Amino acid sequence: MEQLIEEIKQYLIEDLPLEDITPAEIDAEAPLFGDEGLGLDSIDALEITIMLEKRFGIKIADPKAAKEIYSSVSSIAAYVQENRK
Amino acid sequence: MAIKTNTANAVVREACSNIISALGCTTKENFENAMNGVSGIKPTNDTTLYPTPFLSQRINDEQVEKNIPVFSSLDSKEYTRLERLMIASVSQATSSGDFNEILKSERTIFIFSTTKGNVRLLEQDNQHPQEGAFLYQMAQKVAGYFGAKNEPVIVSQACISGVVAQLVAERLLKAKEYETAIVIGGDELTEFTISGFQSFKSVSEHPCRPYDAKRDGLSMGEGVATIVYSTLPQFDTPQAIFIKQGSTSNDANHISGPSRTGEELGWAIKSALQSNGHNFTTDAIDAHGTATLYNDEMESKAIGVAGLTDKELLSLKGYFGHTLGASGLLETVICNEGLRQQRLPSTLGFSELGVPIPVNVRTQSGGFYGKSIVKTASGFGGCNAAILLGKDADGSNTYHLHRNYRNLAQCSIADKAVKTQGKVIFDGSKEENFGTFIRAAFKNISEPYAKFPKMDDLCKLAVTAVEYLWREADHSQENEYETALLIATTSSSLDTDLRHQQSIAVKDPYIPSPAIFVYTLNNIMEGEICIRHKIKGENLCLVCKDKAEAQKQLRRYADLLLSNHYAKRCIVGYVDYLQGKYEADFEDLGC
Repeated sequence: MEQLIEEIKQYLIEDLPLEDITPAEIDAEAPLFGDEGLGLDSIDALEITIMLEKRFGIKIADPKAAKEIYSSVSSIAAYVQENRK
Repeated sequence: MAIKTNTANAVVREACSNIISALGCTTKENFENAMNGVSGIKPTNDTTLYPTPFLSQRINDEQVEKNIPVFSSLDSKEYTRLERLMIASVSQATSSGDFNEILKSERTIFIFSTTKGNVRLLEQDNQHPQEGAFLYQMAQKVAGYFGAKNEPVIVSQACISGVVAQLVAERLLKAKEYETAIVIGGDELTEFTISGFQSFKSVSEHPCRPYDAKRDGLSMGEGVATIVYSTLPQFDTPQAIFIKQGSTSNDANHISGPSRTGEELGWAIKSALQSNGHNFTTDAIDAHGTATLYNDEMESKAIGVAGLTDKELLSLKGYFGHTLGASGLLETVICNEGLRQQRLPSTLGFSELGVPIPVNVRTQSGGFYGKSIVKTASGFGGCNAAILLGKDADGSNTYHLHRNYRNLAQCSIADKAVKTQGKVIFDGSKEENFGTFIRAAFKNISEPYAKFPKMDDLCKLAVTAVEYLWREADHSQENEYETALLIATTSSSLDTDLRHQQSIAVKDPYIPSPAIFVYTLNNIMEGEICIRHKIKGENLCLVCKDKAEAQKQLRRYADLLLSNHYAKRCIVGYVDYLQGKYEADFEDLGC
């Protein structure tokens, strides 16, 4: 799980992209969206959907489910762990 | 200081119009079909447009060939389909009267409204843009066909393009720069745009349902429309419809998501009714009404802000789908015809109110006895526009061009250097390429800004230039609606267009990126600048053949805004980026 969390942090940095941020600076439990944490927005959410498809072959069809899954790096990791092929 | 004096007031009338869509090749056919509840939105199964079936409203080329002969008589090797459709639309619109001299007159201006023009040409070569892919080339060709004497004005400002093009026409005609404006709007259905909107998950599987509780996205459409506006007395007929005035604004909130409050569109609507000492009312609003969750929600709030919830609210998207750069113009043609005939269609697709503010959605097709309609549009980049259309000429006025604005500051970026007031303020000559240079230049003047690395190169260039410009002068005297932002470019967003086209050339896996697609609208740079500096006032995004033409058109428009109290301050800039070649030149103009 630890390794998966680090992998996801790295993909977020590369795919969104997030400049001047190292994986160590991303708190796996902190909210990804809104004013706290990384402060991501709705386009980033769509890009995370693409990242999951490209990197892990996981498709998220329901945008409402995405909201919960994308709440933090560890919630994404938990979902990937459960659903990856 | 030379002052141009205008004495007689000007009124701007619609002289003639045309729509080409699946619903017909004339204004009359389109209007009657909409009145009869006919929708052009149909299942589309064409893998050259999208890998899976979707719904769209498409122009039937055979129908156009049959009804407007010029469409097929033009050589398709010389003119693209969109150019032929535009020429057909203007030809049909002007066929009812003697427009030969007017079209060729030095007192006539051609104004184009398009988001992507001939972007289809990138399918043939997605590494280097062909000449025809430049929007100014397309406009020159179409205007040239009619013998136009003036360099055309091209508005490319996402979904508000069609409304803004008419506003530019109204203002230039009332400033007596021209007597007649041929306003042409058009965009085609292409894989480029369909894949982009699909990547945003904003396309519905059902025909769109504006303002409805079950709405879940838009329907794609294509269309070409023309309105000829004129101050010439020969169009003074009892049936004439007038464009009175209008306004634009920016949400300064997000580049793709609309305002949370609707305050900014509400401000544009109020300004369309109340600027220049006039205090108009309206009997109805024909809004953008795309049927996406957030657009319609925002519009209901805006209508609440403008105090117009009791007025009839109409969306025409259920008939035509979202015709992008044509939509504002095409839908105005229907409104003008409705005012003339005292009839209007209903909001097709609507059945149960599903927006937070209780707006009065028009549900019946039939009689409409109002004297005026506000037409609005909102789009990516946070832009909003509103114009007032009416049956009478009340409140006619003339705009002044004083040409006595002051240049408060200037910033240019070229050849790895940033200059303010002509002096080098940042030397990036040691930087390896544009990417490292612009990053260093921005870092030199600003704290880290999370949005910056996500921008495309065109936006980075524009945002960096304005960042330097902004520090050069005091901005505390203007409120957020008193500063205008006017930008022109030559290559528009072609650099990012190529990236999007390259990404959709990969079919397995077929995963278009919304973060790339959003930057294929060149007015996104306006959105980024507005967010950064909280600019909510007038916005304009033009495409011009070169910097000299851009500065001519932009300075004239800034003059018009400043001299007629539409803005106290204008940030005016030429910015261009294409495949590593770049230039930005911004001015801060004040009264």
